Amino acid sequence: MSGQGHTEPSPEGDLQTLVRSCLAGDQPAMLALVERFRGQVFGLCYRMLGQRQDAEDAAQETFVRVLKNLHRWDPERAFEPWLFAIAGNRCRTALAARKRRPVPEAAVEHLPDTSPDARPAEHLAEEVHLALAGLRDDYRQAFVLFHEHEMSYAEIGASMEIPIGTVKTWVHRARRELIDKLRQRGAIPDQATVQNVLPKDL
Amino acid sequence: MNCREFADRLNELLDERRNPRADRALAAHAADCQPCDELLAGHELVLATIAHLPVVPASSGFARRVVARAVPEFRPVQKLPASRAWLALSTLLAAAAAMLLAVSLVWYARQGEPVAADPNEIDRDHGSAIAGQGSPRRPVVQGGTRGGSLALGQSNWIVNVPRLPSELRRNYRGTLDNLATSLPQTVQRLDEVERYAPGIKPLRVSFRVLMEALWRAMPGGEDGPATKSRTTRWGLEPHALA
Repeated sequence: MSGQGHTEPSPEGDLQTLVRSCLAGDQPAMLALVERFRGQVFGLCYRMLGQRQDAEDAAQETFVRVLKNLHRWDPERAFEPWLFAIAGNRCRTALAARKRRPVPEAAVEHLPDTSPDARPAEHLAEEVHLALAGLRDDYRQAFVLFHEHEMSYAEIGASMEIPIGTVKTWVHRARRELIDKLRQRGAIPDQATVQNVLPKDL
Repeated sequence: MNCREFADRLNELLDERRNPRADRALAAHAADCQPCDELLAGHELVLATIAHLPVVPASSGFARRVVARAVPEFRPVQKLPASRAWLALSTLLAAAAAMLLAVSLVWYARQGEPVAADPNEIDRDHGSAIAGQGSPRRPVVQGGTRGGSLALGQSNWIVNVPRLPSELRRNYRGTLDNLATSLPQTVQRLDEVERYAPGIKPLRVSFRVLMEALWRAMPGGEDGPATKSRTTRWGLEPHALA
């Protein structure tokens, strides 16, 4: 303890200082802002698009838009929902463009092999990654934001501009469909799929 | 607990990011129901895997490429310096004072000055020389032959004047013309201010609406120039007020 009453600046205070510097045209501040959120944004884009190059393009586009429209961010509100709203839109645009392309491409890259002797956990990780790619785009985005980025339902609702109830429904359905897909592929042991467990009207 | 309730409760706990196995009712049902137990196990496995999915990093130089793309189109937003803030405030106060002056002029014109009456008319209407007592519209001032005393109405001074005397009307228009001459300078300063503080634009719009109302309020103003040219006359170009 320093004994001098020195208080650490809060992360939010740091962020607002960083944003102010960016707005003043400070390029090192812009670099710092991008570096600070690069992992989260790229991670979301990669989960949404399944391909590294597409994810990088979408992430880059996201940050360019963020920097150009930084003056529109309300400092009274959290930064991440606004950032992920832009990232989500870029991903949806990329997915829509991909669907319009006449030549089908490999939908999803495989996760990098970390060792030649792939262990069951790594197989499962690959299977989960592929199963995620098979979800409906909205469900996938809501699920990734909730479980991977640990955002609240309120933040996800603000980011995706949908009611909280809809976010919950999408996340619940995403969980259910993931387990069903994994069981169908034999990735997780089962004796009954979710459909057999739950009444048909669910 | 039935299977449907089990599924609902499981979702609730996962939404709250709580360990579902720690819920006694859930665990008790799962111990007795194999499909629900497998459902629970499946959820746990998937979510644990999600939490440990490998992180795929972006390529090196990502941030530099982003900034290189963003900077050419980036316009810094400058904070309004204190001196500019005072300039904005003083300009707004000047505009408010001008507005108040214009309103006062209209109100004063509507009050109506007492008009020097024809002494012969006063003789005829002696009994009604005091406004409000039979004289239909105008308070009257007795002429010099009658001792110079004002026979001002004791009733209210708010009199319907069908038409202002021409001298008063000329003075009124002259005052408004002076206002219009000084307005362009004010408008130019307001343009600069609005770039830094867009929130004051509604004040300008209100000012324009008021000026048009004042113009119409002036007797004969309904027959005045069309709205568009009147707007120009006041130095408030339509495009600046959009």
